[in-house]
Amino acid sequence: MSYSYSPTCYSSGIASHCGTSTRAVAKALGMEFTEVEGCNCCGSPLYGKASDLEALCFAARNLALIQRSGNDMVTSCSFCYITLNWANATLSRDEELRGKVSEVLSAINLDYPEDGVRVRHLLEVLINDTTCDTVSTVVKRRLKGLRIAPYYGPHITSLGYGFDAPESLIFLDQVIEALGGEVVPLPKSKTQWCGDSPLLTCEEERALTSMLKVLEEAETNGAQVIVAPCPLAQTNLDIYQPRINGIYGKGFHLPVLLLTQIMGVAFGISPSSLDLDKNVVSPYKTLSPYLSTWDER
Amino acid sequence: MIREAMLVMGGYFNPFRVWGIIPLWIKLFVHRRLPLIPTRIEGREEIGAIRARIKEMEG
Repeated sequence: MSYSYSPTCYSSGIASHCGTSTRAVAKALGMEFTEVEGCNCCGSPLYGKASDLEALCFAARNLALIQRSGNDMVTSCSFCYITLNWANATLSRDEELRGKVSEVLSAINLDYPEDGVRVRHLLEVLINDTTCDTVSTVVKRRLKGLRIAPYYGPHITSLGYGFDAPESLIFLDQVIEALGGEVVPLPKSKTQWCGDSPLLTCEEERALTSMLKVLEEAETNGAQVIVAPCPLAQTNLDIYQPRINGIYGKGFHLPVLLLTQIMGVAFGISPSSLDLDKNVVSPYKTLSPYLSTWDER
Repeated sequence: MIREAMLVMGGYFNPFRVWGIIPLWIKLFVHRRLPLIPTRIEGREEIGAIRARIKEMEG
């Protein structure tokens, strides 16, 4: 199937391993991505900092660019997912605001698409379009015996676009099972706040406490790896582990992988094509039995 | 544009935290996730035009 794809600011910057691994996995699954050039930040950092109109215009510019390709948009960033869906929903019910946004976009010769653009999360697409059966047929090395904790993060469920039903919170579990991995549930912390934008948050203590809960539950339940579908959640749990260890006197060394990275490992994609070396907590030792080419970095 | 980006950042960034997050920056740099020279954001001119138009409309 064909989709529009924009790596977004995050997946082409600080979490570029997300963009790399998403493209590699999509190719292995036969998903056709039409890359949308020129997208800006989705507007999520503007929540509460600027007018709704400004945030909406940022999101609407992206939606107008995506519309040109004529496909549904797929994103693996949960922040983009909720922001673009929020923009679609707000503009479809508020005619006055939609008029203002159209007026602003006309200044750069773009039109907000009248019916919006369908924005979908990669995880939802994997379950509903690709299906877990297809995923398992692409697996070359089953992750047998690997205990994986699925961490959903707070965003994909916060607005209820495709993830509104509680049963959606087994999507990640289903993909892990399709890869042959052993699911280690995180009943208390699977939607725990991840701290949002790393390096910028003013609420560090709250963010660290929240991440501590996820790491503690994963370790207590015997997980060897945490898997997150969102680059923000993955990055936070990964890069903040040494800081959490320092502040709270812990000794976490738990690799946190993107969903697309763990899928790529099972698909036999080389570690360098999944940018595994960009993970701060090295996953190489834990994943060594499953890697197609062992290249310790 | 730089001034506007700084304003947005200013809403989030806590200067007192800089010391504490230097090790994080170093880790990200070592893992090739932070470039030495920041790349320019996509669509800068268009974003500038959007903000200028909004300013006009909002008076």
